[in-house]
Amino acid sequence: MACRKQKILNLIIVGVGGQGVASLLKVIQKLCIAADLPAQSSLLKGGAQRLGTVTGQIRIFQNRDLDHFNFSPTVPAGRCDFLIGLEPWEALRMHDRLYADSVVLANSEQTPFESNRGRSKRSQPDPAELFLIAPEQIHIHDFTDQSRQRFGNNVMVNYLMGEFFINDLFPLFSATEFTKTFVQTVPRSALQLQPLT
Amino acid sequence: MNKMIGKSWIDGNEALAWGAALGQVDYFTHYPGSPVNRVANDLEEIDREHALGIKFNHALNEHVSILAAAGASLCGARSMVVMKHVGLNIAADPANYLGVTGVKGGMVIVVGTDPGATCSTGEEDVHWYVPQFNLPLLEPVSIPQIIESIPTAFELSERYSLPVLLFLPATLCFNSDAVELPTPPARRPVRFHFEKNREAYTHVGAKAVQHHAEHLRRIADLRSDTWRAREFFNSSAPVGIVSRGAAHCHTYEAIIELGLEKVTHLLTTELVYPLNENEVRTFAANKERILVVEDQDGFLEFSLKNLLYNESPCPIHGKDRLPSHGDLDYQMVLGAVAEFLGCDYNPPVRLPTVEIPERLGTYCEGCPHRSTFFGIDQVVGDSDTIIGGDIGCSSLPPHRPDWLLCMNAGIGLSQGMAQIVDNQSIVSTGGEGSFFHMGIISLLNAVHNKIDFLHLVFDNRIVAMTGHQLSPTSEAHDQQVDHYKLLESLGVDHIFEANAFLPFEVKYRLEQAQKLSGVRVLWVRGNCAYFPDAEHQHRRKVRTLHIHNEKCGSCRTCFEDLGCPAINERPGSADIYVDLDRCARCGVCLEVCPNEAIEVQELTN
Repeated sequence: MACRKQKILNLIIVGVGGQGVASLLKVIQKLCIAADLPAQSSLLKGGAQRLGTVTGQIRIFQNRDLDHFNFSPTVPAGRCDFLIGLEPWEALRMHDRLYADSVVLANSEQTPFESNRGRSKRSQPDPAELFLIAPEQIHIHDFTDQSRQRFGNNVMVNYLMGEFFINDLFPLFSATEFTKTFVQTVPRSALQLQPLT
Repeated sequence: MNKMIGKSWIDGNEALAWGAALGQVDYFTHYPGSPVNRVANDLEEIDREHALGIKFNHALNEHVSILAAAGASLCGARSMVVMKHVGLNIAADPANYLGVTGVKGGMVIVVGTDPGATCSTGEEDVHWYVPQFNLPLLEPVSIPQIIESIPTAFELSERYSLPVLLFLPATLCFNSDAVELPTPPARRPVRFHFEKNREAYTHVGAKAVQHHAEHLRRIADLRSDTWRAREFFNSSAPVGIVSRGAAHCHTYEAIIELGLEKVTHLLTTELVYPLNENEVRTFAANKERILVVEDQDGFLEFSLKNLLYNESPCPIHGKDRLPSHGDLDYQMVLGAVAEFLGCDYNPPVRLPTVEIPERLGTYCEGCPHRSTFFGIDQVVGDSDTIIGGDIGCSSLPPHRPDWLLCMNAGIGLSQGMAQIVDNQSIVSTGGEGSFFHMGIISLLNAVHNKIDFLHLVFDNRIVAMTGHQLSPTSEAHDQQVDHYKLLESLGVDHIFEANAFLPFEVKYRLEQAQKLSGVRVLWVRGNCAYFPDAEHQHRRKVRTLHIHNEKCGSCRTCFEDLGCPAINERPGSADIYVDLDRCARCGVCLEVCPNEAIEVQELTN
């Protein structure tokens, strides 16, 4: 992999508007500053406030000789090392950014396509089955249900996925730092995460 | 040396705001539009935090905005105006005069462009305005360069008495980088005063020609004195690559990835117009061929070809190898650079694309537009009634209006249609943001021409789509406009009002309005679901909803016709339920349910 040669770690976080993609991206950005890791980032969202595709990208430059300001934060096709999908169809939308050894962490709870609210119901395949990637590289769990079980609502999916990511897949940052930074960055989560901090 | 605040992640919008503060801006004005919709909010925050005392003008359209910035500049203030690419069309008339009048305080015109139309109704290339306005154009390539470019633009503007354009594509507006930020300096201790000079500011006949000549001289001086560009890799290489804006980073990375540093000379221009002729000639002198990597129509390629015409035998390529539509991605640039240099490379083995339906966003849960359109649908049904659409949240999917083009296309196109069609009803629509942008004039035009015409204003009392900027009807506004008095004074024949959250009231008022003739306006009021946020949060605390499926007649009106995202089907069942984590408790589903199957409960604790 050329990017491996350059030692750039490429991470994509994707979901739909309102799920907290931007908040999770902000937390990881802050962790990069705390760890003194040069990085570039971007957040793309459509014009709507809610329910459009939201894509956060971050490239962490492990090779400090690179002048990272001259690199784009957009993760090229076939170069995404880690993909966090807060919604499985949106994770699948990023399929061409992945390569055979990419690691995928996805939420299994689907957000319906508003255009599908027609009177004729179409059966859809399970998005999890469409990833052409080795099974051991994919981690799909019902984080929405976990959020309801643990916090009594579904708004902490981004926290739970970030926590899983840091604990199990991306040991560059500590889980304690992640939670602390999350609370500072997303003030509304403070009450729910109080016992953990 | 200013004290450093520390390292922070900032995006392109924030970088523009920081650049303005560091450039000691005195006067800021804008019309909000993505991708530069948050610059004003960010600058206001910096202004508050550091007590800078910047004057703000939250203009109601770009035409007023650019003129106001010019007015402040003519009094000696450093002024900055921000708008999106299509907004420059609205500001184009005054922009044509600013070079000839000249400016006093530095003036910067920031325009957010949108290759790929990620947040706009078009990807119009506004570069072609630049030689027409004949104003200098800066295009920074990174977050640190955006910050630096605003003070630079002020200095250039003051030195040559010309407003400076600064274009920033959506990609850069939404990029972020961690940068060290200094404390902004205090504003300059300048007493602003307009020095009367009718000779300079009156353009007619011979004076207009004379001022035009002076404008040409100033731009020629700037062209010969100024060169803002960066060069990378091997300056004696026979292959040159020239880039600008967001294309720079893709080009730089592609050259490194392909290992072509020794055989390539990369030139990235920050001052894209006018190009310094001597510097361009020096760059091209030892080149056998040049590739221009840029987004959109190829303005830089055109400029280079124009400048080197009949001078250099070196062939210049660009849009013959890269597309003019959509945004450039890394893969395209990598492929073009490799092919241009005859370089063998193995593209990364990527997984195949999986086609997923596009999510264009939709009305939020609790959005007043959803219930209003439900009411309109009750009247229009499957008839061929024309629904005129406008820019803003009201035009989001499911795309009920018949078109989505530009600001005030609803109230504008509908007038022509109303005058020309036979036996076809028209309901023109638009938000209050559009109405105050130019819709007032359009409505007055309908009165002036006695057009038999019905217009519906969606007043959600905030400019929601661009991040909740105040509109003249916002409750938080200390000069809230009385829309009824306004419509009456414009001479509207029949004025109707309805509560957006009562769709059958909308239906009833619309039916009443349709029976009359003359200029008719239906003003539909209902606060945006997320502004004020406290209202929505309070409702969620004190109210809950439940669907009794045993009472439900499976008509699916709430799920399909209203289409609230908080109402969902249970997998493998015909049952409908309310997702309380998403529900905004607006209560519109109760209104539309014919079976009284939805119950609202007020919570005591």
